[in-house]
Amino acid sequence: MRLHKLVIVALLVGISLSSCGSGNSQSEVLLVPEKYPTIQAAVDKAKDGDLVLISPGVYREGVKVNKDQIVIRGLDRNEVIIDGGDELINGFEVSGDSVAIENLTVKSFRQNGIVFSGALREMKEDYGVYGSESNALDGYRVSYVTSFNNGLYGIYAFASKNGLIEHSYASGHPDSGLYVGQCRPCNVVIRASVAENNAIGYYGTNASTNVWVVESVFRGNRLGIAPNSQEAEMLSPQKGATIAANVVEDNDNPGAPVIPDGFFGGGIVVGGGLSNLITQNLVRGHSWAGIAVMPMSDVLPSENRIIENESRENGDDLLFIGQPQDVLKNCFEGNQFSTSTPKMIERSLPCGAESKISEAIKYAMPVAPPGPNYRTMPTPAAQRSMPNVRNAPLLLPIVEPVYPSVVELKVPTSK
Amino acid sequence: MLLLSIAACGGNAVSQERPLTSDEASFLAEVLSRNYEAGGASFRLSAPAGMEGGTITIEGDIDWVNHQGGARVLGGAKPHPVAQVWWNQKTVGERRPTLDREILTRFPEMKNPILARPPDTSKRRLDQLLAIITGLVSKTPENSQLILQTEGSAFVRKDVLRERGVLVVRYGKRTTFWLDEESKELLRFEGSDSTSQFPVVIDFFQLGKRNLSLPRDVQVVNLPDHAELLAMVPSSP
Repeated sequence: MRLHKLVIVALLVGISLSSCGSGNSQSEVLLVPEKYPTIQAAVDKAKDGDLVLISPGVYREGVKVNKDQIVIRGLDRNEVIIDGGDELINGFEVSGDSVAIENLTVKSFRQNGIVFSGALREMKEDYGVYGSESNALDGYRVSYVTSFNNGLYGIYAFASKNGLIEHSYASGHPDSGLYVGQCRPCNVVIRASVAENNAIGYYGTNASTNVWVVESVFRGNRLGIAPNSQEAEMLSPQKGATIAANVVEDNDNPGAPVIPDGFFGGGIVVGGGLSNLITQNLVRGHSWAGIAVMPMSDVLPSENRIIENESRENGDDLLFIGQPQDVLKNCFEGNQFSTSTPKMIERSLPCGAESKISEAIKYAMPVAPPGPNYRTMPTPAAQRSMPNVRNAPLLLPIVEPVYPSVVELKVPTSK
Repeated sequence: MLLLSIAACGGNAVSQERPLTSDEASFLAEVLSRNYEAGGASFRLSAPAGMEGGTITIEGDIDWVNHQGGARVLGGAKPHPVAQVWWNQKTVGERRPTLDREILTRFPEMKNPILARPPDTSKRRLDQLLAIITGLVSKTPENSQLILQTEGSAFVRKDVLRERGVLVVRYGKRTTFWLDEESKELLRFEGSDSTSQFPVVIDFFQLGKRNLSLPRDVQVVNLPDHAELLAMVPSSP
């Protein structure tokens, strides 16, 4: 536990890489491979506030990070490659608090590219449910990271809070590219990122309270974005995500790896979630549904607001599945759309007024076509590197992220 | 998930038990996907035959990629025990030699008849056992984070099985896996139902691709088309 939760502490440690020194006498730059032959060796040596700085090269190792308050940075996003060779398990497995990973590529691990998890720590006493306020990994950040063709998730935060995933890219995963799960409060912002050609773009099982997925692109997955509840995991039901100002398109790609029993052809699907806000998104080109609200894992969705999105060229632009008694204040308002189930959905399920659904809305779920082996997915194009990487400040994720202002988020411009 | 719904004979509960480490959970998370990558295996299953008692042994090969298998069956229930079985996701084909005369009376032209029917895991013990064997596979790894927090998951012990060093780990309360520490292959699976009355032990050998098909000299009788025959084999084995 940290003592300064209520204090905004932007721990800026000046780095002068040209001298391989540190502007802060308490911090150090650990160079890989110049001084430490492996990333793991540098991480094991790192202390609070240190920077592990990695030169271009291919590193065939999985790195376990059980230190707090360190930054791991590649000098070139596209040329610092952590490669699991389809044999190693996780690229980065982080159990320490306040760890940032920046400006590198992680690929071909059997499970996750990057995983932050509060469940990885040794349990010396009963802290309660993983991911709860008192038992979560606290503080994480992923910036300018490319993660592709890993066997499960690209970038994964489990039982973790106070996170930021930004300017990152995930593709070619047979599960979700970006995944935040089992946390309450999550206090996480995903922004300015891209997930494409995955089974699922973003998945948020039981990820509740201050979950923001904004200004990102979810394209060419089998399913775009899915905040959802699952009783099989802790902290169900999911509640309180804001999905806003994203481009969500063509998430019915049979060329993406397939997830067993997975959805197909949905843009944004709220599965059994509560009190989520879906707004200002551009959602188009889905064979099944653009934006859907439905039960999942026996959890009925409630009080979800689908407002002011532009949803078009989808099988159903807007869709609600459920019984008349299940409407539970889910509402649709101010959206641009052409097709919906039920028809005239904004009259049937208005915000701020009583719903008027008289019959159960059943819907045939789409059948997912077979997909390719994730290991055969193409290498993504080079991605934009972190600016000023040699002199960028060392920002430790030690407080809640700055949350976006909903009123400032707008539907992305159509192209 | 299958692994949690079937069950275990609980392993050898000694004082070495402790929570899984993250590496052990990751190892366990890989088991079923490594089976998929291997493609198949030879196996030997031993389990109580059902409520009527006795032990059933099934020895054969499983093709995990195509969800099919073929095996000899020993210890099946009388009066018409299954001696051989072939199966896939849609069909179970049984060879019941004590029914040959009855079948040949009805179908004189037949040779080596196999009785084919849809799988019925709710009523037929044989089908339940076959489903366990077939289900020990996944295209993707399990989520090791969820394994870590699953009640009952534990390191059981290190052991030696068939001269190979193994890690014995339990997933949930009812399934135990014996994993080759070097090759990471699944060497033995133990499971049981919630009552622990029906433990299942499956040993796996020679993991690798399998190309299975029905023997060329058999002929298939579609059992649902012949109610009188179906009535003679109300249960399996």
